[in-house]
Amino acid sequence: MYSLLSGKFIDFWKSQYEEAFGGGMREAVQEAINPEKVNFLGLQANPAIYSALIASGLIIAFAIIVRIFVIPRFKKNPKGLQLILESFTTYFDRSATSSLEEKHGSFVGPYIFTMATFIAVGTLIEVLGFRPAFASINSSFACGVSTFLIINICGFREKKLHRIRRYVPNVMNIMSDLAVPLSLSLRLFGSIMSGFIIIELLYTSIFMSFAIPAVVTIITTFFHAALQSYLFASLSVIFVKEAIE
Amino acid sequence: MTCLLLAEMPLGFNFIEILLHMANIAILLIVMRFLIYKPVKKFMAKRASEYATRDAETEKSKADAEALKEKYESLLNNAQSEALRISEDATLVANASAERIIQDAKKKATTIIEKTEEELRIKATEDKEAMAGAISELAVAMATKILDREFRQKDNDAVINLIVGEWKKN
Repeated sequence: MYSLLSGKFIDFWKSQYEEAFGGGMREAVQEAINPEKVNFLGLQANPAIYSALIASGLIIAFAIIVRIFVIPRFKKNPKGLQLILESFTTYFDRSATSSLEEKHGSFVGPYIFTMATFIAVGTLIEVLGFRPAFASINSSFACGVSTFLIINICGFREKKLHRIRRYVPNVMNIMSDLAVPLSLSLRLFGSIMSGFIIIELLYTSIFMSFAIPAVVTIITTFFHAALQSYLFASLSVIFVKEAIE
Repeated sequence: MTCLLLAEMPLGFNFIEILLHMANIAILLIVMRFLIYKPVKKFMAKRASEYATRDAETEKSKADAEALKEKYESLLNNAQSEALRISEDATLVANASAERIIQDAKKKATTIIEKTEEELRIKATEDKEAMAGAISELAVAMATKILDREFRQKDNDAVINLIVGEWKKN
């Protein structure tokens, strides 16, 4: 009698959970990869566009607050937020200027700083219940294409029209150059999407939806946010360096 | 082109969305560059410049202090040499002066001794002559008393001169 009642209790909550959070694993994966489109200014878009905009809004709000209230109060002995800001700025600036010349480093430094911040915040936004901004091929590809543009801008600034010459004897260089944005965007998309799918799969089972996602999130979200930011910034610098050499 | 933009692509690939994301990235890049990256970098560059200036000033002060130290050490060495030289000169002068004073004193002492001896010698002679007179008178008085008669001066002088002559010899 007792086991019958407990079995019915579990079945009841399982059906309620499935009703609330969707069906099995297949539906969860399907929903993660190809989510229902949302309306964005009349365009049927991936919901990640809202995540990207929210992440951008948070970054811009933070930047405005920092510019108005924090930077004017900077002290000669940095600590707290000032220390963090100085450390990040110095890290990205040195990454860019040590590998590239000052002419390109001053241009690429802010770019990799911005992209690393955007990728980190766009991924971490998942913990607030939003879809990660880079769990969409479009946002990831936009990052890859942006880096591709930066690479070519720096390449043309350095070598002028000589940069085109490298395609004349060896047409394969065109393929290798085009592979750069694909490589960058698919790496970012695959990594973030895989973490997102793992979390979604955990939520398909009522028994695994307690406590476990909190632990797994550290790996799939926090770790991915830091790693992908670092990778994207480092690879961007390496590709720009290749272009100007 | 419109067909390409609106066509259903695998994984929800959409050119318009990509352009929107790129515009978003461009805005973010401008905001981050001008609101955080450049001001923070400018602040750090200014601070580094201040530290560099301070370091340069410290180095300059150190160099100045070293130069002053060397100058004063040189002055001190010169002063010590000068003091030693003055001390040696003074010692020489003092020694010469002392020697001269001693010689003078010795000369004076010798003169005084000689003069004193001469005076003593004259005095002794005078005393002896005075004493001889007194003794002769005393002897006459004694002889007069003893003999109770008046001798002549001529007799007296013969006797007295004999006695005084013997006395002088002694």
